[in-house]
Amino acid sequence: MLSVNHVTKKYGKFIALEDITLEFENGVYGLLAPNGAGKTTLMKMLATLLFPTSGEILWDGIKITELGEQYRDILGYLPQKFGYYKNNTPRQFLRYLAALKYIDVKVVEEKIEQLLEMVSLCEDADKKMRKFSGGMLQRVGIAQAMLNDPKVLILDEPTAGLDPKERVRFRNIIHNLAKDRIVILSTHIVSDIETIANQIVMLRQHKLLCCESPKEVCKRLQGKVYEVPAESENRETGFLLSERQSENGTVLRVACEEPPKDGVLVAPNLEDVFLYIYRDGMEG
Amino acid sequence: MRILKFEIKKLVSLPMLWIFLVLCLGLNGAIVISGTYGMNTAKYLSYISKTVLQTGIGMGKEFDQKLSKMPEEKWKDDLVLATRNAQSFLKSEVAVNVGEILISQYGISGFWADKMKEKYEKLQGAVETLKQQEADLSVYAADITYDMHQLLFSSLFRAITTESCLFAVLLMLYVFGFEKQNHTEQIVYSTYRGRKVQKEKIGAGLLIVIMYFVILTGLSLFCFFSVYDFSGIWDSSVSSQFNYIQCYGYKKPFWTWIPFTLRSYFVAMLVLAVVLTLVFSLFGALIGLLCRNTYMGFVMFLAIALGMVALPVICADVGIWEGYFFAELLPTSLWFYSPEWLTDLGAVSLMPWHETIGLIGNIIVFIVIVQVGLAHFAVQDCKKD
Repeated sequence: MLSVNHVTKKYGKFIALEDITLEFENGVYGLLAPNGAGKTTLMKMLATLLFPTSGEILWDGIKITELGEQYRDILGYLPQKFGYYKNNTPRQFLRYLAALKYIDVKVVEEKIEQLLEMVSLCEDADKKMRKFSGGMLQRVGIAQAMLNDPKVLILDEPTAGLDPKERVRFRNIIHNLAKDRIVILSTHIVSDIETIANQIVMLRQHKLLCCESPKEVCKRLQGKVYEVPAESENRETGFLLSERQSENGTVLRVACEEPPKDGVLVAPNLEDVFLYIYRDGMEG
Repeated sequence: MRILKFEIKKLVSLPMLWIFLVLCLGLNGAIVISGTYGMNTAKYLSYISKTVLQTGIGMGKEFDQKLSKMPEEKWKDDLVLATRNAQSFLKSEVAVNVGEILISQYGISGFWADKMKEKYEKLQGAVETLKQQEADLSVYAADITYDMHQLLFSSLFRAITTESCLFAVLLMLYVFGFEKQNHTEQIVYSTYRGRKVQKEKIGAGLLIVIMYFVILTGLSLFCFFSVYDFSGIWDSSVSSQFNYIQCYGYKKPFWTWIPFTLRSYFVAMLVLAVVLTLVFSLFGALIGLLCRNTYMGFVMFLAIALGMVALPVICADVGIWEGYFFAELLPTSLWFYSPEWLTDLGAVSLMPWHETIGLIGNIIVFIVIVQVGLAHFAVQDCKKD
C-alpha cells in the first residue's frame, strides 16, 4: 500500500501542495484538477523526483526515500512531457531503460516485444522516433513505464496527444493493468477516467478536496443538475455547466439549489462536478 | 556494466566528438609542419639522430674525435661547430643563484622568500646529481635542441593537452546535459538506477576522454615523428646544455628534479598530461552536475577558468603571496606551465614536483567535490524536464 501522510511541498514561500493525506491500494486513481493545482507535484513526489518539504510518503509502511531503488523497482512513471532520444528507435530506447531498471538480460527482448505489441508499435519498433507522431511517442512512454511490470504505475496526463481511437485503446490497456497494481493517472479529460477510475482524487487550492469513487463524487451534485431549454426565461438561474444540442434545440445544463422553471432534473456526471467545483474563483 | 556500455554508446555516436577530433588533428598537423621548423631542421635532426648512434650521446673529447671521423656530409660541419670542445657549465651553488635572481626579480620577501630559497637549495641537490651524470654534456638535438624541444613539448604537447582538456570539459558538460536536453531526466531518474546513473555517466565520460587522448596523441605524435627523427636521441638528457627555459629575458637551464632522458621525460609528460585531462574532466563533471545544461555549463566553465587564470596575476600584483602560490596550483596554472613540468618552475612554485603534487592534489580534491556533488544531486528536486 502506498500512503501519503500530511505531505506539504513548498518552493520558497509558494505552497504547491498542502497537507495531503492519501492512501492508494490496487486500482485506478484518477487525479483530477485544473492546471496549477499541484497534480504534477504530487505525482513527481510519488515518483521520487521531488522531495516533500514536510510529511512522508510510505510504501508498505517504509519511507520511499529510505527504500530508494527498492521502491523505484516497483515504480513505473510516465511524465507529463515525455522525453526520448530522437535518434533511437523504440526498441533501442526500451533496451536502455530496461538496463536502468535492472531487468534481466535474458528476458529483456521478450518483454520489449510484448510491450510493443501491447501498445501496437511492433511495425514501427525499429524506426527512429524523430519521425513519430505525438500519439506514437505517448505509446512508447506507456511501454517504458510498464517495462518492469510495476506495482505502482504513475501516468501524468497519459492521453495527451492521443486521438480518440488511441484514447479508447489506452483506457482498455489501463483497465487491464489495474487489476493487480496501483495506477495513478492525472488528466484534464474527465471522460478518460470516468469509466475506468475506482477513485477520483481532486485537489483544490493546493489541498486535497476528496478521494472518492466516481459515484460518490457525483453525489456532491445530486439533485442540483438540471437541463433547461436555452429559450427558457430562467436561463440565467444557477451555474451554467455546459450546452448541448437536442431535438428541440439547444439545452443548457445548469447546477442550482432550487429547480429552475422548465428545468428537468438530471443525474450529475463527473464533468458536471469538475466544472462546478473548479468554477471561476475556485480553481487550483 | 550494461548501463556503462549504453552510456559509452551514446557518446561514441555523437558526431561532434569525431568532428572535434578531426579539427584538432588538423591543427596539430599544421603545428608539426609549420613554417619555422621546415625540412632543413628535420634533415639536420635526422643527421644528428643517425650520427649519435655512432658517436654516443655524451659530448667531450671522445665525441669530438668520433664525429671528426664520420663521413663528410652536408650537416656535419654544423654539428661539429655546435658540439666541439663542449664543457660542463654546472658549478656549485648555481641553482641557489638562480633562486636569488628570481626572488629579487619578483620582489618576494620574508617567509615566501625563505621558502623559495629552500626550494632552490633542494634543486641544488638535483643539479649535483645532474652534474655527476654529466647531463649537460648530453647532445640531445645539439644546436636545434631548444627549437625541437619547444616544438614537441611547448607547441605540440601543449596543443594536445589544451585540446584534450577542452574536449574533456565539453564532453562532461554534454554528458550531464544530455538527459535535460532530451527531456528524459524524469524517466531516467525514476528508474531503479535512478540518479545514481550519473556514476556510469562519469565513468563513460572518463573512458571516452582517455580514448580521445590516446587517439589524438597517438596520431599527432605519429605525424610529428614521421617528420622529425628522434630515433637516436631518446637516451639524451633533457637537461642538456642546449636546452633552456626563457624566463624574463634569462635563459634558465632546463634542470629537472631527477635526471630525465628524453624518453623518460616524454613518458612522464604523457602521464601528467593524462592526469591533467582527468582533472579537467572532473572539473567539467562538477559544473555539469551543478548546471545540467551544456551551454550554460560552458559559459560557467569559461567564467571560472578565466577567474583561475586571473587570480595569480592579481595576487602577485597586490603582493598576496599565499594567494599567489595557492593559485599556481589551480588546474589552469598547471596547464599553462605544462612545457616546464618537472623543472623548478621558477617563481611559480615553492616546492619541488609542483606540477605532480598539484595534479595529484587536484585529482583528489575534484574526486571529493564530485562525490559531494553526487550526494547533493541524489536529494535534489528534479523540478523541470
